[in-house]
Amino acid sequence: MAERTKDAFNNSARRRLAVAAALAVGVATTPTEGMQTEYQASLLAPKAATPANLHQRPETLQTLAAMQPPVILREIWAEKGLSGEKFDAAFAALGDGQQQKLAQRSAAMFEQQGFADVMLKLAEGKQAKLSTVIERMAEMPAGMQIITTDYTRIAKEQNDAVWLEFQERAEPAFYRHLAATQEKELRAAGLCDYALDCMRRGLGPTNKEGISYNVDIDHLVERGGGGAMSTEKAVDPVHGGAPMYLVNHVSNLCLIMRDVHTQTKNVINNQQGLGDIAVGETKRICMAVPTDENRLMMLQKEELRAGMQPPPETSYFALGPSLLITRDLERLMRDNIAPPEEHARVFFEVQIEPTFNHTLKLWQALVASLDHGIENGTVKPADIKRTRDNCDGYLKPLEKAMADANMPKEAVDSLRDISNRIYAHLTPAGDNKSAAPKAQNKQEKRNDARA
Amino acid sequence: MPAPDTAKTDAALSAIQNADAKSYMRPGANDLVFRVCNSLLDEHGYPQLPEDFEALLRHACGIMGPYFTILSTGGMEMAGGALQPGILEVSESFNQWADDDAPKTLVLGKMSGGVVITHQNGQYHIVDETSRDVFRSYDSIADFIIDTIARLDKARRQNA
Repeated sequence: MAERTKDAFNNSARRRLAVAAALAVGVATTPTEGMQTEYQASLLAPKAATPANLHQRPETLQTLAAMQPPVILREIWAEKGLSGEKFDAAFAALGDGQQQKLAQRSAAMFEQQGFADVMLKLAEGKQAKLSTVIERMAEMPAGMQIITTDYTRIAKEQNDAVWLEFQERAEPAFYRHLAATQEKELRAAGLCDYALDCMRRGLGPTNKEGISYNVDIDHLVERGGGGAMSTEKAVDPVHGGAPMYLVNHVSNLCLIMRDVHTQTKNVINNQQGLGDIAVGETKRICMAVPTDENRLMMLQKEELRAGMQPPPETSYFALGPSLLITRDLERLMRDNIAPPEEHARVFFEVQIEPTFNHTLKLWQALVASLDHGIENGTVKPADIKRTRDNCDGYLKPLEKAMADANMPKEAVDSLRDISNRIYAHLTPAGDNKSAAPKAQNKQEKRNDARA
Repeated sequence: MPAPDTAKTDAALSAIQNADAKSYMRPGANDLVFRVCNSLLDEHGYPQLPEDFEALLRHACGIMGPYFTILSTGGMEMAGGALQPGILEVSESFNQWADDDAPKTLVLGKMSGGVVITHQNGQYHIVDETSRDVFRSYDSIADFIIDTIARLDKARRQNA
């Protein structure tokens, strides 16, 4: 069956048909006029759960999208005029699983007014920016969508006034509103009794020691670029009370995982150069926002309750001590004052071992985390790249400096063992073939459970 | 940069402890921690930690509170086990869209609503992460802490 499917898609005529069908069905289901106005207007309406079938893709499209091999992605975008070396390079940097996800999401993206123009504009700039945006769109967690909207930059003083109002009034009111209306969902997401009590008092959720949870409040329409929403005030229909800037109303706020906020939404925004837009100027941008049913809260329980194992990006914590030991040993070698072989062990025990043991523990935790992540399919290509860079830049130089300075063999071997284990996970073939597809399977399971 | 004012640091710590809402303060850092952190910052093209910031971190190497987070030299474990990245990681994230030849900005803290606390040209700046608007500046981290707690405690009492 798999072979037959592959053969079918190797036939260019059928591939073109699939592309056309994917795009045509998408266009037919949603109007394209006035999307920006519609989005901003929809935020000012009271939040209500969206009927489950309102934005559902027709079954045929879902089936088609699921069948599309990665090659289709390039053709879907080319069909909309988005082709050329830069797009090819951006797509080539994606793993198979990411390409598949983006292909599935493309029809909905192209429904957004001006989406193709936004991407073309982005392609006029640096390759890295285009590639990053495309990568984050592919990696975007379930429960988010890409929309296009107008970003109208407000003056610095106005932005400051909106932020002060947010901190002093809107944020406490939003936390109180969530605690009053979403207690069950907040508990299900893993927040403790103390955290809910904090929210009832208008404070961000912490545990009883005062340690924060991994959540942020996101302004759906950006505070600094909301145009009239950032300058006009009205009474918030949810809170009542004195008028507040529209951008600070409950309808424009969402409790979101901090990582999703910083690594998906902010990254996509910032690659589009929002900081360079002049005050009063308007630019059409694309933005990652929660889907309608997640507009009040978008928490992923498994990420909020991240296991005690540090995630792969925490290899950072091992870098400092590694660098310190490496530099010390290199200085000894360079100044020709390294201890002779017969005194090397004593030198190690007195001078190096305490920091070394700490460093070793951190690298061991990293390997355990990597094993755990790969087993569960939660390791992202970006984590793999970062881990490889950190190994190349810090672990291997430490191993070499230790060997060059005649440090005890068992210490050098313990480092080598760790680097071998890490590199075994980081072979080029492993980037996409082991980690990404498993992650995708996990996402599929999550989607199935929701359905 | 003048030598850190011990009395000011103490006043800032006292303000945190006496604020209406509870903050979490990690144990203080020692010389080795600063050596490691400054080596890493240097390696990545950043200036060293400001002296008055080091003075604060000697008492509490990382503070999580309702009004702001003072970043740690390393990661800080959050409720539920997730990790708040440290100064270098957050700074790298902030600087990744800057021009290649622009001097790197050190990010030392965060506030709600997508605002960060940076240190540049001898001052602490409250910066909107997206637009890069600088909302206000302080001469020391203690001034920032004292001013912010006073402002937001007052707002809380008014809105209670």
